[in-house]
Amino acid sequence: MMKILILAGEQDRLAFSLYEKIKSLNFPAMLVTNRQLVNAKSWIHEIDEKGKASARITLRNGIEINSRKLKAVFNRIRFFSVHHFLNEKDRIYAENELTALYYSFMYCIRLVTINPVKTHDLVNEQANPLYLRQKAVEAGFSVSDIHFTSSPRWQYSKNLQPAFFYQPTGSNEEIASHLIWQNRPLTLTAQATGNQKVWVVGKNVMGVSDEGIKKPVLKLSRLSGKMFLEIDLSTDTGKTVLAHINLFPEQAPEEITETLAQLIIHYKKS
Amino acid sequence: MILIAGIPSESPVEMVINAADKANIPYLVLNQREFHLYDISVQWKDNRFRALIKVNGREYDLEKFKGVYLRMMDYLFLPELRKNKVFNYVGTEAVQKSEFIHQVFTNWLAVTQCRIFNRDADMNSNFSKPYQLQLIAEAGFKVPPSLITSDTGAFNDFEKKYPEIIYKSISGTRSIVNEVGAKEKEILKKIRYLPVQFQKKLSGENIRVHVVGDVLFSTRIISPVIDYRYAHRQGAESQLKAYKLPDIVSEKCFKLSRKLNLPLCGIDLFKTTKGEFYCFEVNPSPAYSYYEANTGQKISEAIARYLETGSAK
Repeated sequence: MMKILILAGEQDRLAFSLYEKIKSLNFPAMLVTNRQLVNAKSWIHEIDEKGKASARITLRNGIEINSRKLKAVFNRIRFFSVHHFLNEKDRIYAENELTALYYSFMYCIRLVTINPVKTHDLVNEQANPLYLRQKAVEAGFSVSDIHFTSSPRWQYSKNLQPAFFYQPTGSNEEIASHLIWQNRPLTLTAQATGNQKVWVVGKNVMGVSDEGIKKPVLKLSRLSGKMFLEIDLSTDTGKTVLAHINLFPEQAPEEITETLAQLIIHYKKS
Repeated sequence: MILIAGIPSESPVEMVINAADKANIPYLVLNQREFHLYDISVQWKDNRFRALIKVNGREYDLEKFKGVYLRMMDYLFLPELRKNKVFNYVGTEAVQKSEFIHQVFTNWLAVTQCRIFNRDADMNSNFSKPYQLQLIAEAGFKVPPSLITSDTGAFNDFEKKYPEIIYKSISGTRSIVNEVGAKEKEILKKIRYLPVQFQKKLSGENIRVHVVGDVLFSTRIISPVIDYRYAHRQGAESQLKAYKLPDIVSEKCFKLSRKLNLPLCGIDLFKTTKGEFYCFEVNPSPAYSYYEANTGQKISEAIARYLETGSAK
């Protein structure tokens, strides 16, 4: 019987909610955690000389994950902790080995995976503010200005604010003067206000009704190759700007989980 | 003008510098060990970005460089940034500056339109060997039959099909390829703690191909050991000779380079005794200098030329 597989960390509330939702709709599903994979009874991953790959993972509780018997997969695992290697160098090596194996396993089931992983993802491009802005502009968003300078004395943007956890007191002139005198590496950003969360679940955009925003949001999802995204929007000088993309939101409103469950249940192999 | 970033005394970097000099290609070297002496400014303003770097008091517009050769090490391991290396340690403020410049420079590399050997994200396919094998096969190459397992029963079944087997690591952590012998079989049950990659041992010879954009250099390696890179550890020597690949194999190499978006790469081929070509892996930051030094193939010149003009021909 073809099953739905959800792969997640042990504290992943969204994944557990999703799993419960799918089960409540009477679809065969399994939720497997990264710890269960680390402690699996056996991994058997084969690649023949034409590159055709398959995998069978048997967990300690006897459950088998067979790459040939999966209807749809939703992945939330990003890393492994390998506790049974006490020596730090061995543990780092083991974690690298398991992560590498995982990426190969995920590639062999990519056609049934809602959010396929690639080794590209190891770089976490979404965390790069320049990459984020480039993609956002391509999608049709406005973005706020940002400036990285290793020497404020050499290059400084007076219209931007230092991106500190605390906000320094004083006028903009006084703050600028102090930072230029200090001359330490600095990130300066525009003062964006507000935070609106928008979700993309397949072709659905949720959390916003403005069609003017839905279009670039969907395009961004297409450009990033991800069917499930959480996007943070802010306002900068009256314009809506993209502030952040999150591929692994920790939680989401119930309607998001329901829509995601439906997406997974009805997912057709690509 | 091209940008060369890394440690200038490292052979692959040094050779590209020399090649650029010889071909009168203007270049700028960014020495990682001196990043704390540079300055960088990258800003996104009015929906476009502007990137400047200041080296030895002179400013350069990063977007004006035609190509970038990257051979950078993880900056956390630079002796200048490590407090316990007292002799070289540059101090806390300089460390913060070097780290900042590394981070911003890396962020810029991800978005620039210059030719780059190679982008970080694209290099990561080599992080997982079996993942990469699947991509290699999609480019039309045969790959060695592989089993990654923690199950001794699965290994026994594999051995029945392929009596001669080698083993190696799954991730990009440099590993030495070894044959599964009596010693390994004695401790085979240890694989239950961590899966190991096994492959059918092929008979034949190693061929290393360096793709540089639109040209390639092929080298035949004659070696008595399985992993020719470590022949000296076994008291043996490897001989390297320039080699002419069949056109169909050359085409597959270019296709693979494009598929992985690695315009510079080192492709490990194996020509069996039956004349079949298999591909083991693709190295995204090849230490081509070893092959150039032993064969005279002008790989470094091709690198410099490609970065400057867009063609290595």
